Amino acid sequence: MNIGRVVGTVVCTVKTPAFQGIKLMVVRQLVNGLEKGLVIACDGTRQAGIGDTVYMIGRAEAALMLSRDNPPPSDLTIAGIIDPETL
Amino acid sequence: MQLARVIGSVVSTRKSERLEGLKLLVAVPIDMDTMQEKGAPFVTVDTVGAGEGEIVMWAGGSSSRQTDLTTGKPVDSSIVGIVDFVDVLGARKYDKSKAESGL
Amino acid sequence: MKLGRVTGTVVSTVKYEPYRGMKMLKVRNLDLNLHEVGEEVVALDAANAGVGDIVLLNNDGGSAQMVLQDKTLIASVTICGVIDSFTCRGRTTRCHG
Repeated sequence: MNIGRVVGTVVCTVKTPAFQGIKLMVVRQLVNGLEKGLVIACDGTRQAGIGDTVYMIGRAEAALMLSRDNPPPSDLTIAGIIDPETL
Repeated sequence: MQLARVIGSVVSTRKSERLEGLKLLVAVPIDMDTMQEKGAPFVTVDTVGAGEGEIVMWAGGSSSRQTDLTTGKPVDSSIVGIVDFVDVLGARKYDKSKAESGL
Repeated sequence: MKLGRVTGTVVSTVKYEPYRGMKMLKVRNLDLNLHEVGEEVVALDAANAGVGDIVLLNNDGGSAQMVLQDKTLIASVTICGVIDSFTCRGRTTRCHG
């Protein structure tokens, strides 16, 4: 799972129905501690906020982690938040 | 997911039967740091009714087949949202109502 | 599968619920000369690895279900072994000690 820092949000009124109720976060990728490009990830934890360092799962697992029964078309999902005092 | 701007469409008469009924659009990636176009345009499948000039969110890989329209279809990316706002560190980086179409 | 080195531990209170109780580690891929390559990622540990260990990394969801013995688990990178040594083109590299 790749590491990043939550820096913002994306709002889409028109979106695929399975994304209803899922927050879309803008995440700064942290590659070996260095800041890289921005990506959009669904918040699987439902608790991520601006400034949190998170790890994200990609590929098919990104969709399944959000819902096994009705997986939304997510290719990147926040799986957890790294406790800040342990960074 | 990533952002892209829809800049065109593709018409294909002779194609895989499994692609029939899908709307194929041409999109160019948007770099979220600058909100400018960056990278090579690509063909993607619309699942939300996106139009030319709009900034959209797209998903790639097998996840792009997790929509009602693309289930079981041979697609590798699909448009899954039309973007209204992008907020980064408290600043509004993009507001659809104030943006030009960019075409 | 690839070689990797454990570079740190991950403590995460808020996480995908099925990961509760699992050990998570930061790892980096290594080439056959044990030089770090690519990006540091977070992996689930199925081999009781520790920081500094050279490990076998698997980046496949189906394999994760096997090594962590949970047919319903949703995961990507797993540590499925701690490597003692490997031999390549006749040259053996010991990985610990």
